[in-house]
Amino acid sequence: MSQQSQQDEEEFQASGPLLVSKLQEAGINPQDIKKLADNGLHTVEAVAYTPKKNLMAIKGISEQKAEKILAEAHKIIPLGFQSATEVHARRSELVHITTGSKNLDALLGGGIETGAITELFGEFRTGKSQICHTLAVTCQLPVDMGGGEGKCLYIDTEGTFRPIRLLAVAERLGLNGEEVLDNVAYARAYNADHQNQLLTSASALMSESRFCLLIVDSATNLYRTDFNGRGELSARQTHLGKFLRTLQRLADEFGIAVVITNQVMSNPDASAGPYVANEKKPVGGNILAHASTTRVQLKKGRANTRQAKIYDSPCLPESETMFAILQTGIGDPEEET
Amino acid sequence: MEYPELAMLYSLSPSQKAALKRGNIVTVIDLFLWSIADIARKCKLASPKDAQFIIEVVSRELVKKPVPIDDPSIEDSVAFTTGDHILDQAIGGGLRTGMVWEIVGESAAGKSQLAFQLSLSVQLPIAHGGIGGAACMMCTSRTLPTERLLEIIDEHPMFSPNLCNLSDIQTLKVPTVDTLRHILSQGFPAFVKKTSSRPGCKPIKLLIIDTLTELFHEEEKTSSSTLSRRSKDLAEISTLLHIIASKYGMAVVVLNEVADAFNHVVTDYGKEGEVLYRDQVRLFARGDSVPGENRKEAALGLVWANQVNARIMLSRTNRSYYPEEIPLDRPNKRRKVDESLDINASSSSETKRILLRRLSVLFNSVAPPISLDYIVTKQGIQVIENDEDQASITVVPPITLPDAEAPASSFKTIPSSSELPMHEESFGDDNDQLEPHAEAVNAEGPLSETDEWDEFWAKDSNEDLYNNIDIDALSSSYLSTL
Repeated sequence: MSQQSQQDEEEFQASGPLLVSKLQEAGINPQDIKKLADNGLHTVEAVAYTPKKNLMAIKGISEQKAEKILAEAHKIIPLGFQSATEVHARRSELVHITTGSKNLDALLGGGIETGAITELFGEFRTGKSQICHTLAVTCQLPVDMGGGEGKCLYIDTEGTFRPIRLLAVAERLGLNGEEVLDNVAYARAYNADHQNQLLTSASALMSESRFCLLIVDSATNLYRTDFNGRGELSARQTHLGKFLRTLQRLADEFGIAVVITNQVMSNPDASAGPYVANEKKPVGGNILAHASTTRVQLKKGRANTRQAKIYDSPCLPESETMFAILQTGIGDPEEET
Repeated sequence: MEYPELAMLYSLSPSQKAALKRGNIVTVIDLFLWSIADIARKCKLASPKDAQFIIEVVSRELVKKPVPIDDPSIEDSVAFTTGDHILDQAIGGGLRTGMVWEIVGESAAGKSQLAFQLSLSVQLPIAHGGIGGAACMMCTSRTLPTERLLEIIDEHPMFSPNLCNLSDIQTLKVPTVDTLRHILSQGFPAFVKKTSSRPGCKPIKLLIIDTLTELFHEEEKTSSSTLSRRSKDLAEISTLLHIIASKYGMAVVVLNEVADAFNHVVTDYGKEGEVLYRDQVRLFARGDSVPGENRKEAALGLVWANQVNARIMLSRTNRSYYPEEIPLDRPNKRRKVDESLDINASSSSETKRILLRRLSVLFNSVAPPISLDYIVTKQGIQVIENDEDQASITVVPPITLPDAEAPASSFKTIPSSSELPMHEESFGDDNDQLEPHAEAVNAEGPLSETDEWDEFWAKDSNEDLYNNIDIDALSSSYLSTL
């Protein structure tokens, strides 16, 4: 039985995510399927993972229809138990996307993990966006070179996206610059609602072609400006929670890696006493802290070197390493002689 | 939920069963929920009296006689080790089956690590402290990091590959509340039955949900209607969990997240003598054994807190633990003081420094509340033994009126640190600040810090140096300055 499910899994990976139109074979009305797709549910998995009440919120889908759709989706996507041995077998095949720096890859256990959310946080000029730019290129590499053989979706909220940086990285890796740029889908988000909305179109894009990386740089910027003060804190955190939950579901459905960057705030309470360095803390509160699978703290080092530290991870120890920001993207610092 | 089927009861006559079947009344609950008149009408009975009679017969058969508690047929619940003996003692002899446990804590506190460890320790044979069971882990977002499980098996002294392995951990992705409800009510019981009938298979004795709170982030806005739906969902899920726990003699562990605890500007004091929710919440959702621990409170509110039998809260603190192997090249006192002050400044050079975390059992139906220090290492969760009697520390702060200064009585233990300044912006706080002032070392600073330093000193061989400090005298002198 386990062999069967593994075979299914392989087939599934080969053919990519199951599109929602597959439900038509199960006897669901094509018009209803279109409604599902219009609401950002492009894969059978997405449908199966959606709560019934959300399906019912779609105009024209009654409770009965929602039940039928869910029942059919559950038939296609079996919600069965797996033993950890099977999970382990599949995890060992899990694709990791290289950051370009051997040190950083080692710290992250091979690179950015697919199917999970990786959060990079640090002050300005600590290399958050530079890592994102490098990843946007390296994710296009073949798997044996540390890539994910897929396109990249780049959601920019700070206006810091510079295609010229991508070209520099592409040159170092010996890739065709024009093709590299073609493979990066870029979207600028202007407010928090827009940022959330982009994920709906993102799932449409991802159901059309093979993506392996979604970057949000930065995830919290717009939330900091759109919501003010403690009065709106609850609304902000709920909104952010939903955004992150959607990201996690995209990661699950399409097996993509999600990289978000996060800003920091100073902690005025901490600056008491001359001995205590003012440690900057990531914003976004507990919601963001719980949602990210791996959190990496970045700090500025000497010259072009930067320090990266594992802040939270289910399987990596708390350790740190150095990497460098080079003309050609992220790399290792030169050996000091 | 399963109810006995009426057709299975022996005290009903065939004609009565046929009548009930006609009325589409299949289970006991169908019978009990309809009114007598409805039953008579649906089953086309001659008179409501017949319906009344059927209900009486069924009730008589189903009623269970009281059993004396020393009856051997009442099976005792068993407990299995957590993988750490001190922790076992603290929670009443190990993780007890038949209960719903909650592990709550901030991000990177070690919730999942403890859960992983439990999923392995349950597999140990009885001679090794386990109960030879299998574990089932329901994940709401991430996939199971199996590498880490293997690492714990390798590194932990109690585990070895021939005692516990990955194939006895079942996992399942539960992306929505609806799915969870469906799985708990149907999929999981069927699965337990299937595995228990298979020969050579360990029975499932541990169910872990990692993390329940994640499922409730679907809403766009929080309103009273979404909150009441959440309460209903939580109540349903916990009922199912309790049924699973008692029916299959299973330990259920639910992981929960935290929210920041705010010092609200108090405008409403409530009626006189009334204990407001914001005061109550401290009793069941926050630890307060060391400064900084009370900055976070468990999520999901009172509804969920009422459903769990035991709540274990994990928190990161800004304190550090130094393994004993450090060579003592400098006089003892200097070393302790210097390194402690460097907590934040020189993290890169201090490779031996391990973050000391705090575990508080806030409530537990089988053991008293307690607080412990622990570290997370390669082998998992390790409780640090303390010479001092940690059990005497009150975990829960006494209720203080919001407008009152800290009452003198609270100095007996640790001042309720709700008075600690909390900055407006600090809701991103994962790295709670202790403010270890230099004065604290000289025992002149705020007393809230002395206990923590005592812990450092307790490890100090030159203990006598500090024993002449009279805490009581200090506290009274501190009080007189107020």
